[in-house]
Amino acid sequence: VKLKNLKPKIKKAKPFHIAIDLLSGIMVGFFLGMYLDKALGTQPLFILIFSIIGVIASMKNLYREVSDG
Amino acid sequence: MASNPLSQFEIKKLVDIEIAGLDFSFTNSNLFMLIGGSFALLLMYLAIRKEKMVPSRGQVLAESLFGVIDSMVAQNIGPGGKKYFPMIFSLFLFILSCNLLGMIPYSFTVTSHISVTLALAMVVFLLMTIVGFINHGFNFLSLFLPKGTPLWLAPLMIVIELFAYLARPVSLSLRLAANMIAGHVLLKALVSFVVIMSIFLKPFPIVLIVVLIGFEIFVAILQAYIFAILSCVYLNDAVNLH
Repeated sequence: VKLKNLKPKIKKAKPFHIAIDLLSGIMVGFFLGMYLDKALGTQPLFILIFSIIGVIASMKNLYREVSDG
Repeated sequence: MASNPLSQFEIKKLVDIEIAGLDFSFTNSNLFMLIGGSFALLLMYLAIRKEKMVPSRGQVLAESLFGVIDSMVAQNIGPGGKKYFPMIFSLFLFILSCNLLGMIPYSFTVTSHISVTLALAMVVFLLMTIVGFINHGFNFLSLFLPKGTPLWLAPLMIVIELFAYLARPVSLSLRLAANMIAGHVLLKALVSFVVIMSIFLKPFPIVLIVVLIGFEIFVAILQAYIFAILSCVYLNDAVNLH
């Protein structure tokens, strides 16, 4: 799907849904990282890595929801 | 009078119950969940009790609710989804009656608590994981690797897809809870405007409140529908692997 075709579909999707989709991936990454850090004692390492992966995952979820139409 | 807009979401213990050091108290949240669930059951029972060729008003309501969810399941899951219809329908009815119950003054909105909505979303999440493994065995894990991924990218893609999969119940529950909280806090804030403002300005927030209550009822129905349709979409991945 080209970016030009995607724009009207993003407009049609609810802005609130986009916000929640972006938030949920980051939350999953952050909390998983926090628990793993507590268990292993490597304080900031997994929070950082998993949060970044969470951002990518939430972008992917958002893209899937928007591109399905 | 409580002026804090968040005080309406406070959980109060109605009956103190403690078993083996754990808190099993009967709270106002439990009470309204019980009322919501029994209201949905009672509505369905009373509407279908006397089936007629020319339906009464209650029967029309029950049949059209049934029809909406039935066509939703058929469209989103396909012929293999017929056996998941009872679960989707009862989830929809429970959330709908809890949302609408929250619109009555002095009542408690159960679905504004993430603990409740996350429990409902986890039911859907666990069901779709179990159904996926039962239907497809270990082929279900191919959900985490999109087709045509280069081999050197595969480890990263698997992790990203796993996170996207885990984010589903979180986004499902956050969406419902955040919508309900936002609406109720907005209404409470506008009501406090009425108290604070001078007498000449009082009518404006009142008109806005009337409009917003109508909008909130619409949101309550819409969110129950969205919860049901997203459960269908997620179950579709588990039933028809692609």
